[in-house]
Order: sequence, then C-alpha cells, then structure tokens
Amino acid sequence: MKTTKNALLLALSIALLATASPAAAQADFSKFVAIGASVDAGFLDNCWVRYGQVDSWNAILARQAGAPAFEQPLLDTPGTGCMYLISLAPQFGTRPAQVKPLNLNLPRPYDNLSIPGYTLQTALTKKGPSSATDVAGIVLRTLNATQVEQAASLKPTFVSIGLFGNEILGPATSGTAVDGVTVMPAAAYAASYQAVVNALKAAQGGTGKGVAQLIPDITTIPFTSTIPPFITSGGQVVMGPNGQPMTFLSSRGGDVTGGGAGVAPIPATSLVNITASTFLATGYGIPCAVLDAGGAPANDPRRTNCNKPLPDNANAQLGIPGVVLYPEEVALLKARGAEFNAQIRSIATAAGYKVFDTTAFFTDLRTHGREYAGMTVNAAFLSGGLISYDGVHPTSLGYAVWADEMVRFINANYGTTIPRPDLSAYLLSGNSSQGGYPVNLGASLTTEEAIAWGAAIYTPEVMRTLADTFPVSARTAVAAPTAEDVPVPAEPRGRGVRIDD
Amino acid sequence: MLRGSDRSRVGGLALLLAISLVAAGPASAAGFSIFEAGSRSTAMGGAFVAHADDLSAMFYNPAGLAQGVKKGELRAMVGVTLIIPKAELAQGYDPYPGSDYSVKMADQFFFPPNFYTSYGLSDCVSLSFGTWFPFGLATKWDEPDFRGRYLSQYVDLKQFAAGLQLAWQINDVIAVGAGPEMRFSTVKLHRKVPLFNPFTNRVVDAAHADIRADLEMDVTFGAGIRITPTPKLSIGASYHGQVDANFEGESTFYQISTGNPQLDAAFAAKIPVNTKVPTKTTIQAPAQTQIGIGYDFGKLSVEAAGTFTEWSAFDTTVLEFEAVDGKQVPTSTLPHDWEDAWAFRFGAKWQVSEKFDLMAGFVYDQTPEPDGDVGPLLPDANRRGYSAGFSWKIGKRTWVDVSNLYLTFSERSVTTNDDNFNGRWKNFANLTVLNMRTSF
Repeated sequence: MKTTKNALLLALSIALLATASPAAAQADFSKFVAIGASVDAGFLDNCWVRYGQVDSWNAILARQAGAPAFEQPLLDTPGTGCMYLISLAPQFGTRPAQVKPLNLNLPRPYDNLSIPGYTLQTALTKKGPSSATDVAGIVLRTLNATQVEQAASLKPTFVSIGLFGNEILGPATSGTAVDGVTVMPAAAYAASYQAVVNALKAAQGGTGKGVAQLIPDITTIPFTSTIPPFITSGGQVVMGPNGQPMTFLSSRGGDVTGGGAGVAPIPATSLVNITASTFLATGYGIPCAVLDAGGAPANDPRRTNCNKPLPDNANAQLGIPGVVLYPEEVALLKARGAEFNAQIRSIATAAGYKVFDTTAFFTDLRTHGREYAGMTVNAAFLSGGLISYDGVHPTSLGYAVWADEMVRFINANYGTTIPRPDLSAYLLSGNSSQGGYPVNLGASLTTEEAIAWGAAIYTPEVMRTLADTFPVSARTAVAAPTAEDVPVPAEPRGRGVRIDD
Repeated sequence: MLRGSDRSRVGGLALLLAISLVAAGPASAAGFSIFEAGSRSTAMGGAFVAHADDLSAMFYNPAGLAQGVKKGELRAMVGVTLIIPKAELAQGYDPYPGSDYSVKMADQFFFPPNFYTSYGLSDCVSLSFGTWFPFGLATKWDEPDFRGRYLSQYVDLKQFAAGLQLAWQINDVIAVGAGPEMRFSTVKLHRKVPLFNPFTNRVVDAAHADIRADLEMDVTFGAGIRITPTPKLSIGASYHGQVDANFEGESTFYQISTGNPQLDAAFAAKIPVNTKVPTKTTIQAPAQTQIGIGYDFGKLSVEAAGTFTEWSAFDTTVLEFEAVDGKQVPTSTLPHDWEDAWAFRFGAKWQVSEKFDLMAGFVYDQTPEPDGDVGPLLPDANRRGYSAGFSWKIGKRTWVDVSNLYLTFSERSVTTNDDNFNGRWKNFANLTVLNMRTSF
C-alpha cells in the first residue's frame, strides 16, 4: 500500500520535474542516494550528531534540489562524543557520548548511507556492525546488505559517490605512511572503486547519473598543517647555531616506546600532526637545552620528557598514534592521493558520473577562502570557520559552502537550475538548526570532560597559527603577516572558560 | 513678504549661508554627482549648458555669466535643494544575504544649498563668486542585524565647491568664462568588523568602525564657452576638473564584546580598539564635461544636452591605517572599477507671461557603477528623471524659482557583486529645488 503510494508520489514528482523544468530532466533528484564516509555524513567536531547531519553537504544538496524524503540515520544530541572548545589555548572538551538514533525504524535503506570511518573495502563488504559499538550498525541495521548494496536497492535516479579518502587519511592522521603496509597501492584502490561504480551504475540502468568526489590533499588540512615543525620560544622561532630555525626531535621509524633510526631534528619540510600537542606539552620533541636557554623554570612540565623524540609512527598495541610525517611520507601520501584521484576520475567518468574536483576546492578554501559581504572564511584551524574542532572535518558552514559549490557544479554539468543555498544562517547562526550551533548541549561541563580533550591540544605553536587570525573586513586580501609580524596573543585569562551562550 | 525689501534679502542670504555649513548631499545624479545646482536648470532636466542664463551657470557653463551683464550691477541667487532618497534591497539572493532577505535604507533627507553672486566689471565682463555641492553620497542602513553591516552601515561623503569666475562676452557670437574652484570635502564611514567566534562557530560583531576624515581642501577649475551664431541658437560647452581628495583623518574601532573574554582579548591584541587610529584615503571626484544646444522659438525655448562624467577615475578606494601601539589594522581596498558615463538631458521653457515661466525636462542618466560594486555603499542604477517647475517674478528685480525632479531608477538585479552581496535593488529619489534671484 505504502509502496504504491510512494511509487505514485515518485511518478508524480518526476512528471512535475519534467514539466516544470525541461533542463532539470538531465538530473533527476526524485531518488537521490548518497554513499561515502564521514564528511559525506556531516560528521564534525570528531562527532556524528544530528546538528551536523542535518547540514551535511548531501542533505543541503537534497533540500536545494527538492529531493523528496531524503532520509538520514539521524543521531540525537549529544551524539558520539562531540568536541567543544574550552579555551583558545586551544583546549577542547568532549561531550559524553550517547548514541540515540532517531530514525532507526525506517523500513528501507537510508538515502544518506555514508558512514564515518568507511573505506571502499568496508562499503563493499560489510553487511552489519562488527561489534556492539560499531557505528556502521546505525546505518546498515539488520538489512544484511552492504552500503553499496543498500544504495543500489533504492534504484537511485541520482547518486552521490562520496569522499572515500580514509585509505589515505588514516596513514596521515596516525603519522604512519608506509607504502604497501598502511598505504594501499593505487591498483587495489582502483579495483574497489570500479566495483562500487559498477554496482551503482547497474542499479541506474547501466549509465551512471550523479557526482563523485576526489580526495583533498590531506597534507594541507589543519590536522597535518597547523603545527609548524619549528620550535618556538616566547612566540619566536628558535634559531640553531647554523642560523637555521630549529625543528622538533623525532626518531625516524620509532614510536612512543622508542626505537627508530635515532633521535634527530626532523627535516623542515616534515609535517607535525595536531595530536603532537599532547606530547609537546610534556617536552617530547624539544631539546632540554632550548628550555634552559629560554629560561624555563625547573618545574616546567616540558622538562619531564625533553630530549625525547616525538613518536614518528603509531604503536598499535598501545593505540597511540605517531605524530610526525617525514618528507618521504608526505611525498608518498601526496603522490598516492594523486594516483587515487586519477583512478576515480577515469573510472567514474567512464561510468557516466561527473567528477567534482574536491582537491582543488579544498586547496582553494585554504589558500583563498570565501568572502561573503565582508566576512572572510577559510580553512585555517579554529579562526577560519570552515574546519571543525577535529582539524579534519568541515563545520556546518564548511559543509554549506561545499553544498553551494556542488549546486553550481551540478547546474553547470547537468544544465539544471537548482537554487544555491542561503549561507546566512550558517555564517550568522552557526548552522540551520533552531538557535544555531549548539554551544551548550544542556549538560554542564564536568572537570573530567573539560580535561579529557584539554590534555590534547596546546601551546604557543598552535597559538602562533591562531594569531594569524581575525582579519578585518577587507575586500582584497592583505598579504599575510610574516611570522615576525604576528603578535603573541594575550595569555588566556583564567582556565576552563565556560561556554555559556 | 520678501518682495522689494532689502532687509529681507539680506536676511535670506544669511540664512542660506548658515544652512550651507550643516547641509549634506546624497547622490542625485548617477554615481555620487549632484547635478542640481539651480532650480530653473533642474526644471529643464539639467539641460542648461547652452542657455546658462542664470547664475547657476557657474556650475553649468561659466560663459553664461557674461549674459546681460551691466557695469556696476550686482546679481545674486540663493537656493536650496531638498533631496529625499529611497533605496531598498527588494530581495537578496542566495548564497548571501539569502533569498528570504530584504531591507530598506533608513529614511534621510538632505538640503544642499547654493549661493551665487556676480558683479558687472563692464558691460561685457563679469566677476562671479558662488558655492554649490557638486558631489555627495549618503547611504544609511540602521538595522542592527543588517546583513551588509560588514561592508557599510553608513556613509556620508560631501564635496562643497566655492568658485571665482570671470566671464567675457567677446562679441555677439562668443562668450567665455573660467576660474578656479576650491573643493571642500569630508567623508564618514561606519561599518562593523566581523570576527569568526570559534566557540559558537558563527561570525560575530567584534567592533564598530567609525572612520572619518578631516575637512580636505583641493583646487581645480571650471571653464566654459557659449556660442550664439544667431540670437535664437545657442551652443555651449563646459568643463570642471577632477579632484583627488587626499583625506587624512582618524578611525576608532569601538570594541563590541563577543561574550567571550578570551576572544575579546585576542582581538584587542591584534586591533587597536577604542583608540584613535590615524587613517588615510583618497576619493576621486571626476571631471565633468557638458555640451548642449538650445533654440528659442519665440515664447518656447528648448535645449538638449549631454553630460560626460569621467567616472573611470573612481577606480579604487584604499583605506590605510597607521599602526598604533604596535597593532595594525589591515589596509582595506575597495575596487570600484567605475566607467565613464553619459547623461542625456532635454528641457523646454514656455514663457507664459512677462512674470511667469513654465518648464519641464527629462534626463536619462547612465550609471557608471558596474555590477561588481553595486552594494550597500551605493546601489546605483540607470536613472530616468522627470522634471517640472516654474519661475515667478515677485518683485521688480526678483524671481522665485520652484522645481521638482522625480528620479526613477531601473530595478537592478545583481548576481556578480565583488563582495558576494547579491540581490535586486530598487531606488528612487525626489528633489525639490527652490531659488530666489535678484539684482541690485
């Protein structure tokens, strides 16, 4: 009965679309289905939660395109452990995780099937949760079908093949890029991608209709690019005896327990992940001599572990990530990412999908940002507005800018006239939810919560990037100040600034 | 009543001079030029360069001041223009400010005055002094949540001209006139300074910027020629030079609390708040050329004229701020990229009696402003103006002139604004000009 009604509605909406806008016939959103990973699900602040999901770029696109009944696996607040900002130090807290699905009984697959942490492999093979806490279960439920199978079963008229980048993001965020071990060969990625595309294309009658995403250059996201490799003292880069800036210490190939090729300054073109801040706070990576020269007091917490190397690689047993990407790792991730993208472009295009250059888009957000009536937003950590607290995933504003870009891309490629989204709510209220971005989810913060993530991120290093902030409205970007020009922001006043809005 | 009384005349002049010290002027011709320097000229749609037969010729055509000169005679003309501008963003566009957004400009009115006097040095040479407002811009968006508040909430730019001109009727056919002009300018600009608040993930107002310049004085000149091949036919041309007003002034960034002391401190560490910041900027007032032809058919006179304004001079405004306490407000660059623009003017006068003239006119005024620059600072558009007026002789040597110009603006739909502030703009303006002319 319901199916008949749905079919009728569907037929009606197709008919309406066809009569209302002949150009729109090229892109039929009457059954819009999205697959992918975290960024396609609206994941943000290291959290999967309703306030992010309702403004996932897929959801915004569905609203703009008038896709009927675009169902998502919504999770009520507080979600899967959302980060929040305690102080600009920066210091973060994490909300207690509570998984409260709102839409678990939908008697069919969701239209947005994207699952945080997903890879092409899991999208093709996983038919249910692998453990009680596996978030894939929230989406896959007991339908006993993979993400791709569930998408295909919906007979989508328009498909969003999301950003399958965990294959390259994982090695980057764990600081461990080893070819053939943590970084898969391009051929293997291509084979999986081909299988995904084949399944979707078949469900669409043999010709792919929809959009596919490339993988951004993960060596430029805030997670990997916020902390410079140089040691600073009092906001100034410390210069070595050779007149060159001093870099942090690490041991190539070692992990938190030691090992590796020996403790030495990292090359200046290394990347230091945002997770290094935990280690830097207790002195890892910093020569004790630098602390002496800088007049650090005897009880400076950094004296605890000074002269010890920052962990280069992850230690799987202890579950502690590596935090350094050496230049050869950076080069490998860049090159492999480009190879994956070449495969995506060729496979998706051959199947009929339009490939959006997500790589160029994110690079553009980082280098130029966007300006809306004097408000400049970009991909800088915390101050830029487009990337959330986890340093990887966009904010709702970032997702909305992405959705806007997708609308324009689809209109250009399919001859449609989908209206662009209204970004005023995201810019001025944080997101499209009533009352904007939830800065206080009802629960007051405990000390434990406050220090949970607070231990994580820190210091003058990040602060220096933060200080490169707060541009005054200027229609033409002014040259970014050099390191010397950046004033050191005032010390935080008091600790644990309560976020009451 | 004013009629005949010397005392009243002098009182009127004093009043007008007092007004001139406080008056402001918004743009009433395309861009931010004000073309209404006299009532009769306004009634004729601004087509006045060929006839130029009252003292407002100082603006329209300095050569016109040589008409009817008598040695030892002092002529004077005073007046005021009442300008009521209206503007609205009838509908915003997505992505910003959003298709559900509309906003009206705050109600304002302005009354720039004019004053002219001319003395006959001989029966063919006159020396004239006068003041008028050739340029002015005033827009005001006073809703606190105005979505363009980071671009402009308030701008008040005015330029006042004081000219001294000699005019010489060389022979029956040719007259010339020219002289220096001092231009006095001021500018004020208010806007909010945005800051991304990472605690709430939204853009908030971090400061109210009050940018103001001291009175700036520049010198240029005006010149004109008037040719009358026959007593019925007149041809005129005039030119006023460009002025680059190099303003110096000061800005104050009044800090607005974001609700987070740490963020406020971070902002105040970067921007010199609540203190005077020496500021510099340059605004170009373009050169203007007028040409026209007039013909008199007995009681009916007609004139057609064109005005060419070299708006391409107004290409970029750069606001430079001096560092204060080691803190530097970034330079703000506003590209305008305006284009030179023409206005076409047509006017007719019908002499009803010796004591009463009726006039009417039409103007088509092309906007110099490209789509990229159409925004809250100035949402300009092509204009069509319809004017009418009369002159009434109320004394032996005294006339009163009354005119009204109704300016309609083409609705302007902008999708490519440089600041991503797009929408459909609707404007109109009404101008009423009153003048009194007399001679002694």
